[in-house]
Amino acid sequence: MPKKFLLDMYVNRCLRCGGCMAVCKTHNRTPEGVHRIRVITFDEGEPTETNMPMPCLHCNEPPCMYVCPTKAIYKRKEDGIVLVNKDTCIGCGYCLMACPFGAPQFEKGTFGNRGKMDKCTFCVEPYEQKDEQGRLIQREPKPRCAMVCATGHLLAGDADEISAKLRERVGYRMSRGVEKTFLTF
Amino acid sequence: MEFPYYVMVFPGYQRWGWEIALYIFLGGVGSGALITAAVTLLLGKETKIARAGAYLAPPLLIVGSVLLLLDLAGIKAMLRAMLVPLTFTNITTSWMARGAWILLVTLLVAIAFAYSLATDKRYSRTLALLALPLGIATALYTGLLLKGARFVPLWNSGELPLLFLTSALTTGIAATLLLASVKEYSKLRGFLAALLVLLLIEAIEVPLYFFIIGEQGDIAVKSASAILSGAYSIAFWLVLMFLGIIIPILGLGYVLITRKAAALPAFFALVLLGGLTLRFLFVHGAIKAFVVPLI
Repeated sequence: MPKKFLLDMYVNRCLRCGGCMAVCKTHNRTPEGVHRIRVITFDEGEPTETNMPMPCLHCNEPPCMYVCPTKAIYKRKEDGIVLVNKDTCIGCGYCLMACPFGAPQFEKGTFGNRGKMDKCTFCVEPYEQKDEQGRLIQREPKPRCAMVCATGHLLAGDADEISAKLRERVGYRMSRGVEKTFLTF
Repeated sequence: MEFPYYVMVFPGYQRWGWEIALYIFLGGVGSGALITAAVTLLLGKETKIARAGAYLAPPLLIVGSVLLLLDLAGIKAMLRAMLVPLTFTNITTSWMARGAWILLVTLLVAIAFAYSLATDKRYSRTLALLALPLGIATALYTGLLLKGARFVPLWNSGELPLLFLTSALTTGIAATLLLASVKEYSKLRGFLAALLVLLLIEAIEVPLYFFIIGEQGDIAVKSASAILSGAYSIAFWLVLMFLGIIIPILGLGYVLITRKAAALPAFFALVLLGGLTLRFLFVHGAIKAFVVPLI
Protein backbone atom coordinates (compact mmCIF):
# COMPACT_ATOMS: atom_id res chain seq x y z
CA MET A 1 0.00 0.00 0.00
CA PRO A 2 1.52 3.37 -0.98
CA LYS A 3 2.37 5.75 1.81
CA LYS A 4 1.20 9.31 1.26
CA PHE A 5 0.91 12.70 2.86
CA LEU A 6 -2.40 14.51 2.58
CA LEU A 7 -3.02 18.17 3.31
CA ASP A 8 -6.44 19.15 4.62
CA MET A 9 -6.76 22.09 2.27
CA TYR A 10 -10.55 22.00 2.38
CA VAL A 11 -10.59 23.86 5.64
CA ASN A 12 -7.22 25.42 5.99
CA ARG A 13 -6.16 24.35 9.46
CA CYS A 14 -2.44 25.12 9.50
CA LEU A 15 -1.50 27.72 12.11
CA ARG A 16 2.18 27.97 11.16
CA CYS A 17 3.17 26.76 14.62
CA GLY A 18 6.32 25.22 13.14
CA GLY A 19 6.04 22.03 15.16
CA CYS A 20 6.49 19.86 12.08
CA MET A 21 9.66 21.67 11.05
CA ALA A 22 11.12 21.46 14.55
CA VAL A 23 10.37 17.78 15.10
CA CYS A 24 11.65 16.91 11.62
CA LYS A 25 14.92 18.68 12.28
CA THR A 26 15.36 16.92 15.62
CA HIS A 27 14.35 13.50 14.39
CA ASN A 28 16.29 13.49 11.12
CA ARG A 29 19.22 15.68 12.26
CA THR A 30 19.22 17.81 9.14
CA PRO A 31 21.86 20.56 8.98
CA GLU A 32 21.17 24.26 8.67
CA GLY A 33 19.51 25.21 5.42
CA VAL A 34 17.90 21.82 4.82
CA HIS A 35 14.20 21.64 5.61
CA ARG A 36 12.59 18.36 4.72
CA ILE A 37 9.28 19.95 5.60
CA ARG A 38 8.64 23.65 5.68
CA VAL A 39 5.59 25.80 6.17
CA ILE A 40 4.86 28.05 3.24
CA THR A 41 2.72 31.14 3.62
CA PHE A 42 1.16 32.95 0.75
CA ASP A 43 -1.02 36.02 0.50
CA GLU A 44 0.48 37.03 3.85
CA GLY A 45 -1.48 39.75 5.64
CA GLU A 46 -4.48 39.43 3.35
CA PRO A 47 -7.86 37.80 3.98
CA THR A 48 -6.83 34.85 1.87
CA GLU A 49 -3.65 34.24 3.88
CA THR A 50 -2.86 30.57 3.76
CA ASN A 51 -0.23 28.45 5.43
CA MET A 52 0.65 25.04 4.25
CA PRO A 53 3.23 22.52 5.39
CA MET A 54 5.08 21.15 2.39
CA PRO A 55 6.84 17.80 2.75
CA CYS A 56 7.67 15.58 -0.22
CA LEU A 57 4.35 14.23 -1.48
CA HIS A 58 5.92 10.97 -2.74
CA CYS A 59 4.29 11.28 -6.15
CA ASN A 60 3.08 8.28 -8.07
CA GLU A 61 5.18 9.42 -11.01
CA PRO A 62 7.90 11.55 -9.45
CA PRO A 63 9.35 14.13 -11.89
CA CYS A 64 12.54 14.21 -9.80
CA MET A 65 13.06 10.49 -10.37
CA TYR A 66 12.57 10.87 -14.12
CA VAL A 67 15.05 13.73 -14.51
CA CYS A 68 17.73 12.36 -12.17
CA PRO A 69 20.67 11.58 -14.48
CA THR A 70 22.27 8.99 -12.21
CA LYS A 71 19.23 7.03 -10.97
CA ALA A 72 20.03 8.23 -7.45
CA ILE A 73 16.34 8.90 -6.77
CA TYR A 74 14.20 5.82 -6.60
CA LYS A 75 10.72 4.81 -5.51
CA ARG A 76 10.62 2.00 -3.00
CA LYS A 77 8.56 -0.88 -4.37
CA GLU A 78 6.77 -2.00 -1.23
CA ASP A 79 5.37 1.34 -0.07
CA GLY A 80 6.09 3.88 -2.82
CA ILE A 81 8.34 6.09 -0.72
CA VAL A 82 10.68 8.20 -2.87
CA LEU A 83 14.21 7.97 -1.52
CA VAL A 84 17.60 9.27 -2.63
CA ASN A 85 20.82 7.31 -2.66
CA LYS A 86 23.48 9.78 -1.57
CA ASP A 87 26.29 7.57 -2.82
CA THR A 88 25.24 8.09 -6.43
CA CYS A 89 23.81 11.63 -6.17
CA ILE A 90 26.16 14.14 -7.80
CA GLY A 91 24.28 17.26 -6.69
CA CYS A 92 23.42 18.61 -10.12
CA GLY A 93 20.22 20.27 -8.93
CA TYR A 94 18.07 19.06 -11.83
CA CYS A 95 15.55 17.51 -9.41
CA LEU A 96 15.14 20.89 -7.72
CA MET A 97 14.16 22.37 -11.10
CA ALA A 98 11.76 19.53 -11.85
CA CYS A 99 9.90 19.22 -8.52
CA PRO A 100 6.76 21.37 -8.40
CA PHE A 101 6.66 21.27 -4.59
CA GLY A 102 10.24 22.20 -3.77
CA ALA A 103 10.94 18.98 -1.92
CA PRO A 104 14.60 18.50 -2.93
CA GLN A 105 16.84 20.34 -0.49
CA PHE A 106 20.46 21.35 -0.81
CA GLU A 107 22.81 22.60 1.84
CA LYS A 108 23.40 26.22 0.98
CA GLY A 109 26.95 26.53 -0.18
CA THR A 110 29.12 28.44 -2.53
CA PHE A 111 30.62 27.43 -5.84
CA GLY A 112 30.84 23.69 -6.24
CA ASN A 113 29.64 23.12 -2.73
CA ARG A 114 25.90 22.90 -3.10
CA GLY A 115 26.03 19.48 -1.48
CA LYS A 116 24.03 16.38 -2.19
CA MET A 117 20.30 16.34 -2.42
CA ASP A 118 18.31 15.62 0.68
CA LYS A 119 14.58 15.16 0.83
CA CYS A 120 11.78 13.95 3.03
CA THR A 121 12.05 10.18 3.39
CA PHE A 122 8.80 9.59 5.31
CA CYS A 123 11.14 9.38 8.36
CA VAL A 124 12.69 6.20 6.94
CA GLU A 125 16.21 7.58 6.61
CA PRO A 126 17.84 10.35 8.66
CA TYR A 127 20.14 12.94 7.07
CA GLU A 128 23.19 10.75 7.52
CA GLN A 129 21.96 7.65 5.78
CA LYS A 130 24.51 5.28 7.27
CA ASP A 131 25.44 4.42 10.84
CA GLU A 132 28.98 4.00 12.21
CA GLN A 133 29.36 0.54 10.70
CA GLY A 134 28.37 1.85 7.26
CA ARG A 135 24.98 0.14 7.21
CA LEU A 136 22.01 1.87 5.64
CA ILE A 137 19.56 3.02 8.32
CA GLN A 138 15.99 1.95 7.53
CA ARG A 139 13.41 2.96 10.11
CA GLU A 140 9.68 2.52 10.25
CA PRO A 141 7.75 4.83 7.91
CA LYS A 142 6.13 6.95 10.61
CA PRO A 143 6.43 10.67 9.84
CA ARG A 144 6.91 12.69 13.02
CA CYS A 145 5.56 15.87 11.39
CA ALA A 146 2.09 14.33 11.02
CA MET A 147 2.29 12.93 14.55
CA VAL A 148 2.87 16.34 16.12
CA CYS A 149 0.53 18.31 13.85
CA ALA A 150 -1.71 19.92 16.46
CA THR A 151 -4.61 20.74 14.17
CA GLY A 152 -4.58 17.62 12.04
CA HIS A 153 -3.86 19.57 8.87
CA LEU A 154 -1.16 17.14 7.82
CA LEU A 155 -2.17 13.52 7.46
CA ALA A 156 0.28 10.73 6.77
CA GLY A 157 0.02 7.01 6.31
CA ASP A 158 -1.48 4.48 3.94
CA ALA A 159 -3.20 6.26 1.07
CA ASP A 160 -6.55 4.49 1.52
CA GLU A 161 -6.65 5.04 5.26
CA ILE A 162 -5.89 8.75 5.27
CA SER A 163 -8.06 9.57 2.27
CA ALA A 164 -10.98 7.81 4.00
CA LYS A 165 -10.24 9.86 7.12
CA LEU A 166 -10.16 13.10 5.15
CA ARG A 167 -13.34 12.23 3.26
CA GLU A 168 -15.11 11.48 6.50
CA ARG A 169 -13.98 14.76 7.96
CA VAL A 170 -15.08 16.77 4.94
CA GLY A 171 -18.38 14.89 4.80
CA TYR A 172 -19.09 15.69 8.45
CA ARG A 173 -18.31 19.32 7.86
CA MET A 174 -20.56 19.50 4.81
CA SER A 175 -23.40 17.73 6.60
CA ARG A 176 -23.24 20.40 9.30
CA GLY A 177 -23.49 23.04 6.58
CA VAL A 178 -20.07 24.56 7.18
CA GLU A 179 -19.03 26.54 4.15
CA LYS A 180 -15.62 26.24 2.66
CA THR A 181 -13.26 28.66 4.36
CA PHE A 182 -10.45 28.23 1.90
CA LEU A 183 -10.16 28.23 -1.85
CA THR A 184 -11.43 31.75 -2.14
CA PHE A 185 -8.89 32.62 -4.79
CA MET B 1 -5.63 11.68 -12.96
CA GLU B 2 -6.29 15.41 -12.79
CA PHE B 3 -6.50 17.09 -9.44
CA PRO B 4 -7.34 20.70 -8.70
CA TYR B 5 -4.28 22.85 -8.14
CA TYR B 6 -3.16 26.41 -7.92
CA VAL B 7 0.11 27.67 -9.29
CA MET B 8 2.14 30.41 -7.65
CA VAL B 9 5.67 31.78 -7.74
CA PHE B 10 8.03 29.43 -5.96
CA PRO B 11 9.05 30.96 -2.63
CA GLY B 12 12.83 31.12 -2.12
CA TYR B 13 13.70 29.70 -5.52
CA GLN B 14 17.33 28.62 -5.83
CA ARG B 15 18.45 29.33 -9.37
CA TRP B 16 21.08 27.57 -11.35
CA GLY B 17 24.14 29.76 -11.20
CA TRP B 18 26.22 31.56 -13.83
CA GLU B 19 28.14 28.34 -14.51
CA ILE B 20 25.16 26.73 -16.22
CA ALA B 21 24.32 29.84 -18.26
CA LEU B 22 27.93 30.20 -19.37
CA TYR B 23 28.12 26.48 -20.15
CA ILE B 24 25.02 26.67 -22.35
CA PHE B 25 26.62 29.61 -24.18
CA LEU B 26 30.03 27.93 -24.60
CA GLY B 27 28.47 24.62 -25.60
CA GLY B 28 26.38 26.50 -28.17
CA VAL B 29 29.37 28.38 -29.60
CA GLY B 30 31.47 25.20 -29.63
CA SER B 31 28.82 23.13 -31.40
CA GLY B 32 28.11 26.02 -33.79
CA ALA B 33 31.80 26.25 -34.66
CA LEU B 34 31.91 22.49 -35.16
CA ILE B 35 28.90 22.62 -37.51
CA THR B 36 30.44 25.55 -39.42
CA ALA B 37 33.73 23.68 -39.83
CA ALA B 38 32.03 20.45 -40.90
CA VAL B 39 29.75 22.16 -43.44
CA THR B 40 32.63 24.22 -44.84
CA LEU B 41 34.74 21.11 -45.27
CA LEU B 42 31.91 19.06 -46.80
CA LEU B 43 30.84 21.78 -49.24
CA GLY B 44 34.22 23.02 -50.31
CA LYS B 45 37.87 22.52 -49.77
CA GLU B 46 39.62 22.43 -46.45
CA THR B 47 40.15 26.12 -45.84
CA LYS B 48 41.43 28.40 -43.14
CA ILE B 49 37.86 28.89 -41.93
CA ALA B 50 37.18 25.16 -41.58
CA ARG B 51 40.35 24.76 -39.58
CA ALA B 52 39.50 27.74 -37.34
CA GLY B 53 36.11 26.21 -36.53
CA ALA B 54 37.55 22.78 -35.88
CA TYR B 55 40.26 24.16 -33.57
CA LEU B 56 37.78 26.37 -31.73
CA ALA B 57 35.23 23.66 -30.87
CA PRO B 58 37.21 21.35 -28.49
CA PRO B 59 38.52 24.03 -26.09
CA LEU B 60 35.08 25.65 -25.83
CA LEU B 61 33.39 22.32 -25.17
CA ILE B 62 36.06 21.41 -22.59
CA VAL B 63 35.70 24.73 -20.74
CA GLY B 64 31.92 24.27 -20.82
CA SER B 65 32.15 20.75 -19.39
CA VAL B 66 34.47 21.98 -16.62
CA LEU B 67 31.91 24.64 -15.74
CA LEU B 68 29.24 21.93 -15.55
CA LEU B 69 31.46 19.90 -13.21
CA LEU B 70 32.08 22.94 -11.00
CA ASP B 71 28.35 23.20 -10.37
CA LEU B 72 28.22 19.74 -8.80
CA ALA B 73 28.26 18.70 -5.14
CA GLY B 74 32.00 18.51 -4.53
CA ILE B 75 35.31 17.03 -5.64
CA LYS B 76 34.12 13.44 -5.31
CA ALA B 77 30.98 14.08 -7.34
CA MET B 78 33.04 15.89 -9.98
CA LEU B 79 35.42 12.98 -10.33
CA ARG B 80 32.53 10.56 -10.53
CA ALA B 81 30.71 12.66 -13.12
CA MET B 82 33.76 12.47 -15.37
CA LEU B 83 33.17 8.74 -15.72
CA VAL B 84 30.16 9.44 -17.90
CA PRO B 85 29.16 5.89 -18.91
CA LEU B 86 29.24 4.69 -15.31
CA THR B 87 27.53 7.66 -13.72
CA PHE B 88 24.93 8.90 -16.18
CA THR B 89 22.87 5.74 -16.39
CA ASN B 90 19.35 7.14 -16.63
CA ILE B 91 19.37 7.79 -20.37
CA THR B 92 15.82 6.53 -20.79
CA THR B 93 14.17 9.50 -19.11
CA SER B 94 16.72 12.15 -18.14
CA TRP B 95 17.93 14.76 -20.60
CA MET B 96 20.89 15.50 -18.38
CA ALA B 97 22.14 11.90 -18.72
CA ARG B 98 21.51 11.90 -22.48
CA GLY B 99 23.24 15.26 -22.72
CA ALA B 100 26.30 14.01 -20.85
CA TRP B 101 26.64 11.20 -23.40
CA ILE B 102 26.05 13.54 -26.35
CA LEU B 103 28.59 16.01 -24.95
CA LEU B 104 31.19 13.29 -24.36
CA VAL B 105 30.85 11.82 -27.87
CA THR B 106 30.80 15.27 -29.49
CA LEU B 107 33.90 16.29 -27.58
CA LEU B 108 35.78 13.15 -28.65
CA VAL B 109 34.72 13.58 -32.30
CA ALA B 110 35.61 17.30 -32.19
CA ILE B 111 39.08 16.52 -30.86
CA ALA B 112 39.58 13.81 -33.53
CA PHE B 113 38.32 16.21 -36.21
CA ALA B 114 40.69 18.97 -35.14
CA TYR B 115 43.55 16.50 -34.94
CA SER B 116 42.85 15.08 -38.41
CA LEU B 117 42.74 18.58 -39.91
CA ALA B 118 46.01 19.44 -38.20
CA THR B 119 47.83 16.32 -39.39
CA ASP B 120 47.17 13.99 -42.30
CA LYS B 121 43.59 15.00 -43.32
CA ARG B 122 42.77 11.49 -44.48
CA TYR B 123 39.73 10.94 -42.28
CA SER B 124 38.63 14.54 -42.01
CA ARG B 125 35.65 14.20 -44.37
CA THR B 126 34.34 11.13 -42.52
CA LEU B 127 34.79 12.94 -39.20
CA ALA B 128 33.03 16.00 -40.61
CA LEU B 129 30.06 13.79 -41.53
CA LEU B 130 30.03 12.55 -37.92
CA ALA B 131 30.58 15.98 -36.40
CA LEU B 132 27.68 17.63 -38.20
CA PRO B 133 24.81 15.68 -36.55
CA LEU B 134 26.62 15.62 -33.22
CA GLY B 135 27.07 19.40 -33.29
CA ILE B 136 23.36 19.84 -34.00
CA ALA B 137 22.52 17.37 -31.20
CA THR B 138 24.67 19.28 -28.69
CA ALA B 139 23.06 22.58 -29.60
CA LEU B 140 19.55 21.12 -29.39
CA TYR B 141 20.16 19.26 -26.15
CA THR B 142 20.99 22.42 -24.18
CA GLY B 143 17.46 23.55 -24.94
CA LEU B 144 15.99 20.14 -24.17
CA LEU B 145 17.87 20.12 -20.84
CA LEU B 146 16.05 23.26 -19.78
CA LYS B 147 12.77 22.03 -21.25
CA GLY B 148 13.12 18.83 -19.19
CA ALA B 149 12.54 20.81 -16.01
CA ARG B 150 8.81 20.91 -16.56
CA PHE B 151 7.87 23.24 -13.73
CA VAL B 152 9.82 26.23 -14.99
CA PRO B 153 7.18 27.49 -17.42
CA LEU B 154 9.53 29.84 -19.31
CA TRP B 155 11.51 26.84 -20.53
CA ASN B 156 8.57 24.56 -21.16
CA SER B 157 8.24 24.97 -24.92
CA GLY B 158 9.39 22.96 -27.90
CA GLU B 159 10.61 26.20 -29.49
CA LEU B 160 13.43 26.52 -26.96
CA PRO B 161 15.77 23.90 -28.50
CA LEU B 162 15.25 25.46 -31.94
CA LEU B 163 15.95 28.90 -30.54
CA PHE B 164 19.14 27.64 -28.93
CA LEU B 165 20.14 25.92 -32.17
CA THR B 166 19.71 29.15 -34.13
CA SER B 167 21.71 31.06 -31.56
CA ALA B 168 24.38 28.33 -31.50
CA LEU B 169 24.74 28.60 -35.28
CA THR B 170 24.98 32.40 -35.32
CA THR B 171 27.46 32.55 -32.44
CA GLY B 172 29.40 29.59 -33.87
CA ILE B 173 29.77 31.20 -37.30
CA ALA B 174 30.68 34.53 -35.70
CA ALA B 175 33.31 32.96 -33.40
CA THR B 176 34.80 30.93 -36.26
CA LEU B 177 35.08 33.93 -38.56
CA LEU B 178 36.46 36.02 -35.71
CA LEU B 179 39.20 33.46 -35.10
CA ALA B 180 39.91 32.82 -38.78
CA SER B 181 40.33 36.58 -39.41
CA VAL B 182 40.09 36.20 -43.17
CA LYS B 183 40.35 39.61 -44.83
CA GLU B 184 39.28 38.79 -48.39
CA TYR B 185 35.64 39.58 -48.99
CA SER B 186 35.22 36.94 -51.72
CA LYS B 187 35.98 34.07 -49.33
CA LEU B 188 33.64 35.39 -46.66
CA ARG B 189 30.60 36.12 -48.80
CA GLY B 190 28.81 32.79 -48.31
CA PHE B 191 29.36 32.80 -44.56
CA LEU B 192 28.16 36.37 -44.19
CA ALA B 193 25.01 35.62 -46.16
CA ALA B 194 24.32 32.53 -44.01
CA LEU B 195 24.93 34.51 -40.83
CA LEU B 196 22.64 37.28 -42.03
CA VAL B 197 19.82 34.83 -42.79
CA LEU B 198 20.23 33.10 -39.41
CA LEU B 199 20.28 36.45 -37.59
CA LEU B 200 17.08 37.47 -39.40
CA ILE B 201 15.47 34.20 -38.26
CA GLU B 202 16.71 34.84 -34.71
CA ALA B 203 15.39 38.41 -34.79
CA ILE B 204 11.90 37.01 -35.36
CA GLU B 205 12.27 33.93 -33.18
CA VAL B 206 13.53 35.56 -29.97
CA PRO B 207 10.76 38.14 -29.36
CA LEU B 208 8.15 35.70 -30.66
CA TYR B 209 9.24 33.12 -28.08
CA PHE B 210 8.49 35.45 -25.19
CA PHE B 211 5.07 36.26 -26.61
CA ILE B 212 3.97 32.69 -27.31
CA ILE B 213 5.31 31.38 -24.00
CA GLY B 214 2.36 33.12 -22.31
CA GLU B 215 0.31 30.04 -23.17
CA GLN B 216 2.13 28.20 -20.40
CA GLY B 217 0.24 30.09 -17.70
CA ASP B 218 0.58 32.96 -15.26
CA ILE B 219 4.12 32.18 -14.14
CA ALA B 220 5.36 32.13 -17.74
CA VAL B 221 3.65 35.48 -18.32
CA LYS B 222 5.35 36.81 -15.20
CA SER B 223 8.83 35.69 -16.27
CA ALA B 224 8.28 36.88 -19.84
CA SER B 225 7.11 40.28 -18.67
CA ALA B 226 10.12 40.56 -16.34
CA ILE B 227 12.30 40.05 -19.40
CA LEU B 228 10.30 42.14 -21.88
CA SER B 229 9.38 45.06 -19.65
CA GLY B 230 10.71 44.47 -16.14
CA ALA B 231 14.02 43.97 -14.41
CA TYR B 232 15.72 42.37 -17.42
CA SER B 233 14.27 44.67 -20.10
CA ILE B 234 17.52 46.62 -20.67
CA ALA B 235 19.50 43.40 -21.11
CA PHE B 236 16.84 42.08 -23.49
CA TRP B 237 16.02 45.06 -25.69
CA LEU B 238 19.31 46.96 -25.63
CA VAL B 239 21.98 44.25 -25.35
CA LEU B 240 20.32 41.24 -26.97
CA MET B 241 17.94 42.68 -29.53
CA PHE B 242 19.66 45.96 -30.48
CA LEU B 243 23.39 45.26 -30.01
CA GLY B 244 23.32 41.51 -30.49
CA ILE B 245 20.90 41.14 -33.41
CA ILE B 246 19.79 44.38 -35.11
CA ILE B 247 23.21 46.11 -35.33
CA PRO B 248 24.89 42.97 -36.75
CA ILE B 249 22.05 42.55 -39.28
CA LEU B 250 22.46 46.15 -40.45
CA GLY B 251 26.24 45.83 -40.40
CA LEU B 252 26.29 42.59 -42.37
CA GLY B 253 23.82 44.00 -44.87
CA TYR B 254 26.08 47.03 -45.28
CA VAL B 255 29.15 44.80 -45.74
CA LEU B 256 27.36 42.61 -48.30
CA ILE B 257 26.37 45.68 -50.32
CA THR B 258 29.58 47.71 -50.13
CA ARG B 259 32.00 44.73 -49.94
CA LYS B 260 34.15 46.42 -47.29
CA ALA B 261 35.06 43.86 -44.61
CA ALA B 262 36.96 46.16 -42.22
CA ALA B 263 34.37 46.43 -39.43
CA LEU B 264 33.35 42.76 -39.44
CA PRO B 265 35.14 41.65 -36.19
CA ALA B 266 33.11 44.18 -34.21
CA PHE B 267 29.85 42.73 -35.57
CA PHE B 268 31.00 39.18 -34.78
CA ALA B 269 31.81 40.22 -31.21
CA LEU B 270 28.34 41.77 -30.90
CA VAL B 271 26.72 38.53 -32.09
CA LEU B 272 28.65 36.65 -29.39
CA LEU B 273 27.55 39.20 -26.78
CA GLY B 274 23.95 38.70 -27.88
CA GLY B 275 24.23 34.90 -27.56
CA LEU B 276 25.70 35.20 -24.07
CA THR B 277 22.92 37.56 -23.00
CA LEU B 278 20.28 35.23 -24.41
CA ARG B 279 21.54 32.30 -22.29
CA PHE B 280 21.82 34.40 -19.12
CA LEU B 281 18.31 35.77 -19.65
CA PHE B 282 16.92 32.26 -19.98
CA VAL B 283 18.69 30.84 -16.93
CA HIS B 284 18.36 33.83 -14.59
CA GLY B 285 15.08 35.24 -15.83
CA ALA B 286 13.17 32.01 -15.34
CA ILE B 287 10.71 31.80 -12.46
CA LYS B 288 9.88 28.42 -11.03
CA ALA B 289 6.25 27.52 -10.51
CA PHE B 290 5.08 26.20 -7.17
CA VAL B 291 2.11 23.92 -7.39
CA VAL B 292 -0.33 23.96 -4.49
CA PRO B 293 -2.31 20.73 -4.53
CA LEU B 294 -5.90 21.40 -3.49
CA ILE B 295 -6.84 17.91 -2.43
